[in-house]
Amino acid sequence: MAGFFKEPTLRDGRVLGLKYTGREDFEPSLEFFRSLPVEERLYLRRDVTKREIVEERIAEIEKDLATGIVAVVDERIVGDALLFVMPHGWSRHTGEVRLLVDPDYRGHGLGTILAREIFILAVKKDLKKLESCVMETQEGAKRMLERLGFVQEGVLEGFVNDLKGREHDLILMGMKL
Amino acid sequence: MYEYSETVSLNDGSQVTVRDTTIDDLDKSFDFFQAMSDEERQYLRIDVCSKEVAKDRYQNIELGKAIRLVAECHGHMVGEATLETMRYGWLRKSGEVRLLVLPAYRDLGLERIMAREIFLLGARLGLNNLLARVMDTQEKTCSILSDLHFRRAAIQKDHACDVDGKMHDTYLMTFSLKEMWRKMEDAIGEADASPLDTYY
Repeated sequence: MAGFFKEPTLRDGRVLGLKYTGREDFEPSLEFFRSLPVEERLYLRRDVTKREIVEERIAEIEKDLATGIVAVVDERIVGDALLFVMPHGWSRHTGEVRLLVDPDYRGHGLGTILAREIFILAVKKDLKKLESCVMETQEGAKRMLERLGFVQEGVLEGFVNDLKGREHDLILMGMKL
Repeated sequence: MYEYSETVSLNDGSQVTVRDTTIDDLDKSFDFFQAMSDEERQYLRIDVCSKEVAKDRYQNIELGKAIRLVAECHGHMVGEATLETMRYGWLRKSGEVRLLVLPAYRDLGLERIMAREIFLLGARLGLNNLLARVMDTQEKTCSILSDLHFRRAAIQKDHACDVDGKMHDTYLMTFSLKEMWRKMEDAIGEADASPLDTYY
């Protein structure tokens, strides 16, 4: 597969390609986010099923505020990871991790593969810390972060609203590099 | 578009106008940040020495992602307070507060005036929560936020890096506007339920 910097094999034998997200991934990204089950979209940080939000994301990558990695199978995105770093100020050594995997590809190691690539990126960028946050309902995501070495740093009670407007606690996770 | 203007007297008697800001303030804003030392700039999250970035910040106001108040004295910008909001996503009912005052105008009451206005703005926008991030060295800012009933909700260990490369903890201070409204409604409800002669 051309254009991929890595072609890992999942635990079930499926092979996929990893590439850095670029402008050309706009439509496939939108398709990927829109393919997620409605109940999962409730817990997304941003409503990435909207074109303007995906555009905002791509613009962040183009402005070098974020680096994205997508996992691709047969020209279809099945996983998406984003490392967001503020270029200036006190948070410049801290990166924020956002990760999303197609339900059909969960439990086969894709989340860990993407997270590992984000770690490599973070080390290359000389970051000192990684952070991520999840809603209290996202138990699977929290467990995965814990397995990767993240620890819970705090809870912001009732701080976030899902797409239906229900309030949830926001759990802050962090990991020193 | 949010409009606000009020002239206030600071503790030393000087008059400062706190008002909303527009793209016309771009040059003044640029001068404001240029007047800061490197140490002061460490508390900023963006490169304020870049005109491009400065323009982006004002575009965020036009896009409705932020509301900003500036404090002006003798034609110069001496303070800035921002309420950043997200239109979409899970943080759409929360706002982040940022406050910056030039050293010469600190401890004169200006920080409190601007913080209070941003606080009221959050309430007017119907937000549920306000958040402020403070480095562990910013004791004065913590004190102002505590006076406004913000509470320390979380500590992010080694989140911040100062100009000397030293790592610091960041305090996340929050205020629940929703909780405040609920308490007020309860208080009004109790008053309504009381016999009328209680008031005479």
